[in-house]
Formats: sequence, C-alpha cells, structure tokens
Amino acid sequence: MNEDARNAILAHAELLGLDREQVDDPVLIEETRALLDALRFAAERDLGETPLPATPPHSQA
Amino acid sequence: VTQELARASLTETSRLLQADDVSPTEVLNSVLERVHALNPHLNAFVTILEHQARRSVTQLESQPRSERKNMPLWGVPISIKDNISVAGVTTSAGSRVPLGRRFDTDAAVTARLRAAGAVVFATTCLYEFAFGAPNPAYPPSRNPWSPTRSTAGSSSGSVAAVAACLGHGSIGTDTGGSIRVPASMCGVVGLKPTLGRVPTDGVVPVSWSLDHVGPITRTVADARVMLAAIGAPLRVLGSRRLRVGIALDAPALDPHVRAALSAAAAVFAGIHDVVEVKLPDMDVARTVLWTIASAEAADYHRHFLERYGPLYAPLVRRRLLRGRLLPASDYVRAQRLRTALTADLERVADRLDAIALPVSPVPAYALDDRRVRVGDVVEDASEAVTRFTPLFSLTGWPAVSVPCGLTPDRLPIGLQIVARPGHDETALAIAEAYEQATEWHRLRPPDEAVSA
Repeated sequence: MNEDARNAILAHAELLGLDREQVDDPVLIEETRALLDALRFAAERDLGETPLPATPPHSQA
Repeated sequence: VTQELARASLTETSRLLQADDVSPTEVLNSVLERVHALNPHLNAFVTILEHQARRSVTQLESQPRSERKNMPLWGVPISIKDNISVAGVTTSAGSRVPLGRRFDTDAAVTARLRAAGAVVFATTCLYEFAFGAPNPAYPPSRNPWSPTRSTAGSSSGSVAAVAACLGHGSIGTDTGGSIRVPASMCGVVGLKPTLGRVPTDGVVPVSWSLDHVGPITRTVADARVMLAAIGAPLRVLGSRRLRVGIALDAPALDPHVRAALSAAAAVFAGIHDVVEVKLPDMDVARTVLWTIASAEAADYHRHFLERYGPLYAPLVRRRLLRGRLLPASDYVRAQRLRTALTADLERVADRLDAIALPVSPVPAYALDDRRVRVGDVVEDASEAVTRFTPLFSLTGWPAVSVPCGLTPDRLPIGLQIVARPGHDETALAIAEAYEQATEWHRLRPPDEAVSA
C-alpha cells in the first residue's frame, strides 16, 4: 500500500473525528483510494474546464 | 390444482379471483403450502406473516363484490423486501443493527398494495441494508435454478420467491441494480421504474437521491399490473412501430451471455426498427454511482456505525466508512458527472424509443464466491454484476430486466430494456413484445432442483 495515501487518509479521518482504528484498514484505504482515483480521472477527462452551471441546481428562476 | 394456482401468473390468478373461480383463501393456501415446503431450501423470507395474511384474506372475502373491480391485486399474495415497512412487523433490513424500526403504519408502497387488494404474506431476505453483501447472521437466499449459486442482490429473497412460485409477485428496491441484476440471475422480470415514480417513504434508505422501489414478477404483464397499483398512472402507448437502439457489443461478457444477447437482438430486429448504439462509459457511471451511494449511505448510517460498527458485515461497514472518507468536493464532482452522463445518454437516445443491453456480464456465480472473472479481469462479485445497471439509476430512466436465455448449466440470462424518464410503459411494451416472441419467461426451475 502507498504509505503517502495511507497517511493522507488517516489525517483526513482524524479531521472528521473518525476512530483511527476503524479506518486504518489496508483494504478500506486501497478501495477508497481506487474510487477517488477513478472519479478524479473521469472528472478531469469529462468535465475538464467545464464551468459550473450558471443556474444553481435548486434555483426557482 | 393447488400447485397450478401457485404457479400461475399474477394476471391469470387475478382473472380467476375476480371471476370467483377461486377464492383468496385457496390462492393463499396454495402459496403457503409451497412456502413451507421450499423456503427451508431457499431462505427467501425473513418473516412469514401467515396470521396477518389470513386476516387480510378474511377481510377481502367479506367485501361486497362490487368493490373488488377497482382492486387489481384483489386476493393476490405478494411479498415485500425486508427494508420496507409493514405495519406491526420489525424491519430488519437484513442487519443485526437495531434500527428500532417496528412501525404501526405501512410504508407508502405497502399501503398502496393493500389498497389494491394485495395479500402481504411475507418479508423477503436482502443484502444487509441493500448495500453489497448478506450479513452472516442471515443465511443467504439461494438461487432456485441451482441452490449452490447466488441470487445476487440486493433483492435476493424477492427474486428467489418469485422464481420458485412462492407468491405471485414481490416488491424490491434498486439503487444501482438491486432489482434488475438478481431478476436476471433467477429468470424473472424485474422493473426499476422511473426515479420517483414509486414513493420511497417507509423504505430504509441506501442513497436518498438514487433509491427506487419496483416490482418483481414472472411476466411483463404482471409487472405492469403491479406498477399501476404502486406508482403514478401509466401513459397509453400509440400503435406506431418503435425504434430501439441495441447496445449488446460490450467488451467483457461471458460467452453464453453474449450468445443469448445476440439471439435477442435478432428477435428485436423482427419486431422493431433497430439500430446499433454505443452507450456512455459504463465504468464511469459505476464509479459515479458508488461515490454518491457510499457518501449518502454513510450519512444515514453515521450514528449506527459509531455505535454498532462490529454488527455490520465487514464489506458493508467498509463501504460505509469509505463513504465517510470521501471529500465533499468529490461528491459534488460525482453529481456533476451524473448530469454529464444524463446529457450523454440523451444524445445517444436521440430519436430512439428505447435501448436494449445486457443486465449482468455473467450468470449466477457460486454462493461463496466473493470475486468473479469477467473477460480477463477478476473483480469483486457485487461490483462486476452491476456493470450495466448504474447508468440508469443515475439518470432515473426506467429499466426492466427480462429473461432471454439459459446457459448450458441451466442458469438464467437477462436482457435490460430502458426508456426515457416517465416512459415506463414503452420499456414494458418492448419487453412484452420480446416476451411474446420467445419462450424464456415460461421456464421455471423444477422443484427437485430447489430441494436438491
């Protein structure tokens, strides 16, 4: 497992107030990392520089 | 005769009931007889509500005959997934986590079934919180076609029950494929209606922006009757020839699934105007779905997870923790990708009435398998089988799974037909035309296989 990824996730978990023991699980860290990598790759490729919609999602305009 | 009543379709049974050719008591007895004989081999049910069902039947039989005409499910035994409230019954959601869910009132869908005259006779097994795997405290439902095989999930008990003729229909929930995938594995019809068509009030949520409620039946006509009873009114279709996009050329498919789908495409070509289409990236849709569903589920489970963490199945707990760990900015990006995928799908479906594609890339896998091979890739089983379903959960398009073949090992294969939001009737009409042109929906697992 990538030690940097582990440390980043554990630091994030601490910020969220999550129990370190619950989160310090190699499978959980690997799966979270993989999901985020896949999502960010798709967002970069498919959204790119696309600006946010001009109308907010819940606008009544 | 008893066995024939339990095995008949919902629409045929309803016709017999409305004509007074059989009574609700006779129909319920025929179903319960099979339930008691076969459920120990299948684990389809969490709670069998025999007493409550008999009370409902007595009530129905005392009604004046004129009232039943407006009750399309009058006297029909229906089961309900155990993450949907049934008044007076504890909702387990397939978990040992004490949700404290024992309500005096029915979920909206349960109430609508009862108003239509249905006899709610059992609650069905499911993956824990409909989120990935059964809890070890609940034995998994077994596939009636081969009890050593999985039904997949999460509406496991509902599909096993309907396939084995333990009830004439069941209600399931579908967040990323939980009605369609198990329906395809067990050779029954599973409909995920348009997002929001059937209310989710009284359903233990997985993901508030993605959860759907829908029927599981043995024929498309049965699904239409159930949807009309639990959802907003259906549109009436004209008689014009429909234009269907076929997206069966997926890269990684089990060879038997591929052969069955090619044969289905040939049947479609004889009925509709058919064109080949290329769908948006299914892997992106799956990633987006898991991001949104994990984050939304984690929020619902926040307090339960802190208090009862060890009671969850390890895989479910891991998925919920993963949801807690996702940054808000990534959740927002997932929602933006969801919007982009919806626009892509609209472009693909331009001038089409519907699209046909696979449900699962593989047939039912062995009960203990946690990973399956799809083409050259070995994947987590519950993620592999949902390759083709999340796109229509994200976009809210109605999608129906219909049986389209059997492998040489006699394991069912399913075909998915999707239409634009609000056009559930179009998806059902195309599914029904396919059904009428083939015999797959008539095949049922033999009882000897169930009890083997």
